Amino acid sequence: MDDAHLVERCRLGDEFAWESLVRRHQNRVFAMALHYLRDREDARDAAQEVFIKIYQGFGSLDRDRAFLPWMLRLARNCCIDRIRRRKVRTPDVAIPVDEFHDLASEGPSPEDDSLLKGRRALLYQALGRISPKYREMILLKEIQELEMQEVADILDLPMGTVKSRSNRARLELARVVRDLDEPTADSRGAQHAMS
Amino acid sequence: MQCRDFEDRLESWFGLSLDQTLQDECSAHVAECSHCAELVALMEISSGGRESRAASGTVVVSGTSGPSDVSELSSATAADLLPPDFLVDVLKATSGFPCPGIEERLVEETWDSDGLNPSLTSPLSPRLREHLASCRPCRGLEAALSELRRELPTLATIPVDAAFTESILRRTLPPRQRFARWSRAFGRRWLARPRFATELAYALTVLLMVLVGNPSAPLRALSERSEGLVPSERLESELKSVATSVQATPAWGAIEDSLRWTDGRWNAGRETVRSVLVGGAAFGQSLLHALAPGDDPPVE
Repeated sequence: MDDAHLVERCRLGDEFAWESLVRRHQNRVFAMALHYLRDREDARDAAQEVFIKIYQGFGSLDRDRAFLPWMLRLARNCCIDRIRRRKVRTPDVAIPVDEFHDLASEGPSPEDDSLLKGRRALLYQALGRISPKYREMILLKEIQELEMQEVADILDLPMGTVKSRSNRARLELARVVRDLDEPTADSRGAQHAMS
Repeated sequence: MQCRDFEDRLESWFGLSLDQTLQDECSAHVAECSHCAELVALMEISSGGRESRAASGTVVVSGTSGPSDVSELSSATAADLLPPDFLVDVLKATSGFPCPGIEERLVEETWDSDGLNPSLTSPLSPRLREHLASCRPCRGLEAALSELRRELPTLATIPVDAAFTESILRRTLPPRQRFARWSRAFGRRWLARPRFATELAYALTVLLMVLVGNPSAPLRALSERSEGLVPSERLESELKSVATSVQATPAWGAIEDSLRWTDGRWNAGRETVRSVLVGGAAFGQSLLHALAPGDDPPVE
């Protein structure tokens, strides 16, 4: 049963359909919240809040619209609200004046046992080093694999901006990954010695 | 053929890719024109192809002898003659490294290599490969991009525990469904307990005792009435007659004998153990006295 059918059943009050929908998307929502908030407990609370809002907001979901982008937009807004609230609670932390800084915190990477092992650790580390606007683009376009139009809708950006920002985000992330893989690399000029 | 015409066709003629008529016309022109013959000689030197071309026998070039140092170099290939850092030096002195532009192109090609972007069929790809072959940072970038393309989608989900789902469902379902769900879960948990059978038997026994098993029990009359339903006098007489018939059998004597023997052995064994324990205690006490002679004897 696809999302549309499950959502339709949920509208009719089918508790099993709701449970199935939660089970299907809980890992994705949690991962997204963790990427934004970079704190496991906070991400858990945010993910729960997202599902409560989804449950309460079935009425506002247009029947012609896909469920996944709607859910991800809801999750994103929820995470951003949390980040803003977090900043209000901790005003003594230095916050750069950057319109995109609202989209992710500069806190530590998700310090979790298995996540910080091996390749995934490197990816999380690299994601933590790129700028928040690029991180968000990577999250929506490459990690959640949304279409360009869906990303443009969520971020409220023109398609051209999404395309160019997507490429720049990929490039920045790849550079960071490459540098993390080769921490002893010399300066750029020296690297150009022909191999 | 004019020199200008030949110069336009020089590369094709040199590569033997012209049709036979044009090829012959060009060869005739080279044989007549010393200016173009010198051009051909330089072309052969720069590509290191004089010997192979001459060996092919398709073109006879006369008057192509140049300066002696050029003739000596012509036996080596162009690649052999090139200094190792030649390209780096040229790029440094002219346009700089092309990596920034290459990197952007690399992102597009690496990420859209599945052919979804039709604009990427431009002839840059072979040149890109050429650049990658000699540029380590760009090779590293290409590797990183390829890995990212494969690995990033794996970060889309992170497993959560079962309590997470339960928590969401508890907070979202209406009260009636929430209670039904809770009671089902509670029942499953209760039934899954290993001591469930014992606990159930204990609870039922207590309940039975409370209801019928004491003088002030509300259902005491029910138990008395049930006793009345059983014909107890008749049952007692039948049990007595069965016991009498059993005692009359010859085997009963043997059973009584074995019971008496077992009883005797049991009593004898018990006495033996008791005497051993008493003797051991006395021995222990005397040992304590012997080890500590200064102490007063225990008060009797």
